[in-house]
Amino acid sequence: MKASVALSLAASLTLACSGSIEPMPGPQAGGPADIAGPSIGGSGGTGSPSKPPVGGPGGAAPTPSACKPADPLPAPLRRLTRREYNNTIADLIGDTSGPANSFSPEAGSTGFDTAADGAALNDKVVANYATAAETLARSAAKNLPALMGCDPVAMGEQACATQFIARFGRRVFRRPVSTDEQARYEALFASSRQLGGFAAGIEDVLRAFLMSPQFLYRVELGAGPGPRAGLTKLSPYEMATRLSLFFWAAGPDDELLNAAQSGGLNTVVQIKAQAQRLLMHEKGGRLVRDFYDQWLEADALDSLFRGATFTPTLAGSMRQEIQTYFDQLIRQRGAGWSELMTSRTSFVNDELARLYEIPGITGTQFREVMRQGDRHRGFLTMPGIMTLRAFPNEGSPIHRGKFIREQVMCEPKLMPLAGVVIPKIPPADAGKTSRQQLEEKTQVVEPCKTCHTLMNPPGFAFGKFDQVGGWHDVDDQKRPIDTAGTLSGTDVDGSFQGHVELIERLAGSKQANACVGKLWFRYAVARMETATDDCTMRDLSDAFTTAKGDVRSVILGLATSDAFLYR
Amino acid sequence: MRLPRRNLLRGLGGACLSLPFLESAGPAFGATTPAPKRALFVFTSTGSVRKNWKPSAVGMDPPPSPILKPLATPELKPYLTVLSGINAGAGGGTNTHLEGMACCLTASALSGGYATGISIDTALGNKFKGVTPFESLQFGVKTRKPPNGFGDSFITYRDRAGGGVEGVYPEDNPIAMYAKLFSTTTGGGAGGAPVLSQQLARNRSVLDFVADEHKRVAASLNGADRARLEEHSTMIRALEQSMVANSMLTCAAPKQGIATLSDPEAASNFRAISDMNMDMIAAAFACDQTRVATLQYSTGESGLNWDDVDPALNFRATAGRSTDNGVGAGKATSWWHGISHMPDTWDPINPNASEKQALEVITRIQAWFAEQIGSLALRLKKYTDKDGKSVLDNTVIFWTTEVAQGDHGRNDMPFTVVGNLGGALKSNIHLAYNGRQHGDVFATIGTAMGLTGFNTFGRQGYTQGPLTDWLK
Repeated sequence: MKASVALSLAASLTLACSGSIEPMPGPQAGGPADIAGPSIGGSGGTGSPSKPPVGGPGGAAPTPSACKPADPLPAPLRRLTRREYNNTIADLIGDTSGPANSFSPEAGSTGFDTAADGAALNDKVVANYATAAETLARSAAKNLPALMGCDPVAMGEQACATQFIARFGRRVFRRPVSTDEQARYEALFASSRQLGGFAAGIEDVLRAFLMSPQFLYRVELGAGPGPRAGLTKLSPYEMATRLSLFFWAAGPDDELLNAAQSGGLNTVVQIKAQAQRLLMHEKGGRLVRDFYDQWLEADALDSLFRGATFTPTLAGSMRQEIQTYFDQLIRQRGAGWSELMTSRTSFVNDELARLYEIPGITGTQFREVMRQGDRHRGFLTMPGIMTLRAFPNEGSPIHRGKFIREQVMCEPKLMPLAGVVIPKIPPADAGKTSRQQLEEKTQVVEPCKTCHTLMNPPGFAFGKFDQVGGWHDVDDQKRPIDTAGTLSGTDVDGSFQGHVELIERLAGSKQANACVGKLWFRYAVARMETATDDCTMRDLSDAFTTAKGDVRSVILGLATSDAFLYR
Repeated sequence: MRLPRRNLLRGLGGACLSLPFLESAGPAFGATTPAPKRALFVFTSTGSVRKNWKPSAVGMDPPPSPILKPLATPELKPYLTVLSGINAGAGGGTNTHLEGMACCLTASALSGGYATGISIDTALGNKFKGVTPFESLQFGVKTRKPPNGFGDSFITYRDRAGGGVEGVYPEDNPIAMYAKLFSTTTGGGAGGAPVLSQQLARNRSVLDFVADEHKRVAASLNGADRARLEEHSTMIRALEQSMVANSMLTCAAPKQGIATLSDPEAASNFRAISDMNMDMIAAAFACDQTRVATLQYSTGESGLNWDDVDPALNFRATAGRSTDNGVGAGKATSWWHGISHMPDTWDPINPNASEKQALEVITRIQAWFAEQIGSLALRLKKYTDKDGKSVLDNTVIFWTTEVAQGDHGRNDMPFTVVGNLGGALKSNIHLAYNGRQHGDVFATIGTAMGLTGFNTFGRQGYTQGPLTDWLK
């Protein structure tokens, strides 16, 4: 298993950033000052195949580095994302209907919904919260014992309400309810009970909880100065919240809150242990699934038109395949970039199996398959990915190439220059293939030539996949499809015969590795990287460049980096 | 990482999702159901100033007078009716404030200064026995313990067991009234009475709470974060206001404006109690808890000192004559009854400074009450009635007093009406009469409400029957 040979990525990352640069203050009893201590990667590695590696005796030596330590997470007060809201509501009251789906989508600078600058505040947002709280509370109040965890008849209404406010409030606020807050919520309860009876009192308490800033916002007051200037420690509860929102996109569970309460989140070892638990917990799959779903824009599958065979069910299956693939390979098998790019493994149901032309798979249940032959490698050839970058009736080489350059290689956006008239591409005809038509229009003269020479070839490599990822050896005129080309402008330049060779090149690309590291950083730290993040970026890049880098280590490293531990 | 169309569509779907918030506010009844007709009688003390009350022209769409200006807004003027030239003299007697009170809603003969017949609110309420939880409700704002003036301060009379009639004091304690009306355990909200949704009150209470909580958390933060939560709090307040302003309610218990009240008779509570009463009246009408109510401000010959209500109102005048009723020459006072007697004559050719000031103050007091009545009308207008119109559309508010003005006269009373009982009455009109008795006003209202037994009202020989040119 990968775990036993894993490199100490988290260690190298953190050590390079802080441990080896500045002498750390000595451990302080109970305080998080020892979080960034040099032992971060060196202990805690279990080698157990069922656990993600967090370092070990065989870890690579930390790379000496002269870069500056990373900044902490952005200071702006963040609101729960729609995902976080939905998941937390499901945990709190069991409502899995996705009440936040109707909220305004996040639109932050990182491209991920976690972006700190992604959630505008306006009257519609406020009204949405009020409406959702009202609807949720009304329906939850229909089953009071289930909601409250006590029986108002047996226990007494007031006692049960008091207990509910304290216990439920702790999970809503992600910290204990203060005496003052307890009194205020009890007063609200009393007032609504007077108006509409006991259930109304509880309903309105719940409604107020769900509209409270302490639920909707990630309020971080801090807990004193951190180990160096500009860093503020988080309270154990604030740490618990960061961890759970990162790993689960939901509020902390009781175990995490109890850890915060009992001094179990004060040291890096403790935090890392919780981070591991959260990552490997059933809910930990959300982090991996949601990150890759957003990176690959798989959520757009639901709204595409790709002809009659592309049904909503199929769209859902495609998305499911992508998410399951990353979740299984990363969380369960410790895959790194190279394996993710080239694995023959995937997870399919009957309709995906038909697209893959894998016989003998029936039913909607997903199961693991080996994709034999020379068609499929990793995730780039998955039907969902091919479908996303296509026209309604055929694949789109330019979109596929653009995707590889921009999103896989993190190159700047390739947009037509202002004023450029996009030429109409004539349909393929008896004289010229569609590739020839495209090349003539885009790769011969400027202003198109420079960019299209970069992006067209990796796109043409996937020319045998149609608009839903189906395979074609020849085009509709029975001519062979030319998928050869040359990759240029990257760290893995060179010619390739078809998409498999291209994928193998990309699998060894430092640039692509660094790109994924960058994206993870943006997702976790909720902002774009800046010059002050050079150190972190380089370490992320280094970590991935070791090629067999276990993504779990990168995730755990991020979650125990200064940027994550302090504000 | 883009904005999928699916989410845009879901975003639009949010418009539908926001419905539950207003669910309690939407019309819940079919538009074909006939709506109940209601009457509210508002009493204010010590008369008006006739020349500043009476519109300068009669007929439709009269020009607003200084006192009635607050009721002549575009929203309310269609409902406004002025009845001038009507006398309230059926009781006879010597034209005291006490007799004015007794005659005010009864139009009956008097005996020893008290009425001998039941009042219009009781008479109307008798028609709704078993129909509404309360036949009629009497709301008071500081009608007891006057430091000066008479203590007999009721205008409602009902039949007394064993014969005769007896006075009914209004309820001055709004908390007691609230419990009576809106407690589901002890009040009219229980026992087969109309179900009160209470949703508006609860919505407001929760939004209040949450807006406050945003402020509290904001206070623990700095800079942009603090500003952000304060902004959020402000938006919740705005949401609350727009919810209240835009929602038409079918039936909802009002927010309990006053939580505790050590002394309902303290003048400092005057306005708050007034507001709470108006909220309760509107809700009680909307919920069909009752169809008849009175709202009495202070007593006849009011001992109220307006400075105790709110010095900022500046209802204060300086007596010019040593004979001025208990004030003393040169002394400033905000004593309502005192001020009412300051003008030597009520239409002075050359008023002195004191008279001018007193007339001006009383005019402002009356305009202030017009404003209160206007706000009450708007409260009624916010409730959707069973016929899809507003509750105000099916209500009549009759504003009266115990004397026409400070000269104790009860001729040409300053009778102001808001509402037209679903079009049964003409409105936006000034009807000028010449000596009709005010029992006929009550006969008109009873008739317009579709009730029998209102061919006349009050003392025989005085009442002639409904004012037919007011009826539509």
